[in-house]
Amino acid sequence: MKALILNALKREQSSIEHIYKILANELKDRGWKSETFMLQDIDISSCKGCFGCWTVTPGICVNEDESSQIIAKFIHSDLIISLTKVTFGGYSSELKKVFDRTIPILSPFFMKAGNETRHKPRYKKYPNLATIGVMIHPDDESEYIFKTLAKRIALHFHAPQQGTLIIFSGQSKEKIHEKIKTLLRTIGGE
Amino acid sequence: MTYRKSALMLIGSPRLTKSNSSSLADYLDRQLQEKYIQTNRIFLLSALKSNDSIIDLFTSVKIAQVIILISPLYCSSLPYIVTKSMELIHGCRTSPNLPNQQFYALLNCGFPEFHHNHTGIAICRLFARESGFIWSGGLGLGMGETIGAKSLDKAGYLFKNVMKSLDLTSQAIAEGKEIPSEAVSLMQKPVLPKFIYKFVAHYNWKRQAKIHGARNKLSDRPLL
Repeated sequence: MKALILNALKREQSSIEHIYKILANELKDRGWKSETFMLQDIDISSCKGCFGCWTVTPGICVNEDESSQIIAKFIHSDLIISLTKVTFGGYSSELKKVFDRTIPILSPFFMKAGNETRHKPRYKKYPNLATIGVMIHPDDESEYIFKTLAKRIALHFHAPQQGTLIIFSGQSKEKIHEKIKTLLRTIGGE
Repeated sequence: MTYRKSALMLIGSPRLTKSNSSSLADYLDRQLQEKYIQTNRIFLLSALKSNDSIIDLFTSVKIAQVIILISPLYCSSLPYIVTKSMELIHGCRTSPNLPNQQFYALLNCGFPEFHHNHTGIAICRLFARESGFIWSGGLGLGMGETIGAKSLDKAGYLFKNVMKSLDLTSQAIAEGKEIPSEAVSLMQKPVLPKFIYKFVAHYNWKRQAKIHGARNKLSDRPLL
């Protein structure tokens, strides 16, 4: 089983650096093959909203950079785990930049899904999505928006399963480890 | 002309002036100016280009009495350039004595349903709260692609609800009030029947792909 970690936590935030290490070790212990993109180290441009990935070179972004690698690995993974600071209830800009660039994996055509419209899948299989948000202080509204956003993104990308986890920066390593184990169990990470 | 107040419009589309966000801003701009509100417009993609332009953004935000974000929805929330701009603006608003500045948001998405914008509007609300602005309401438009980056007035009847909503919103901005619920409801009304919107959208994707010689590749799976 292959996992792709999109780590948008900044290295200089030493109080939360251990979260990634706990996650990577847990995946290893479970026999997962994981690969990580430290988004801080990657220089990709932002989506230009040109829709060239749908109408010029369908399925491939017309602006080639390192995002092409991420998108290819995204679609070939069983699980995507995003690590981000909760930013106004949403994803940090580094993580959002990556998700904005992944629309080539969807079809431009619409489909009906329940009470709303979404883009049809381009591929037959999509990975499960797990999202880990880090917060400094508890904030119910921020947490609710973050969980809602993660669910909506999972629906958008046709993820068979999704899970969201909130970690507070002051939590003990043991507590964080326990939460990560539960998250992985929830989304089929046994 | 003596202005009553100043409003800064932040445009979140990377398509700059050739965007639906810009068309919405054009219409709102005219309404605000008619109400003696001095307007200024910043395209966030351009604002993020250099340290100097970021400082200009900070200065413009600092002096405006009203901030209006007009943005498309990307992947269920705000595009990267908007998120990055928010992080930067938030970072420079550390003073305990910030002036009373109102923050409004107008989001548009390409899906037929307006409710896709809800999470993006909620993020705007939290940004305003955490950055010391007065949250004054958000509008969400579905079927945004019907604008086609053109003038709302020229399309006439098609955008009558959108224009009416913006008329009411501009009045609320002039009076320093929250966006009225009537404006929110008008913006949520479908521009077209859903089945027509979907038909036209699908036709347009095929037409554009044909122009680029990709008509038969629209459903390709190049990463397999």
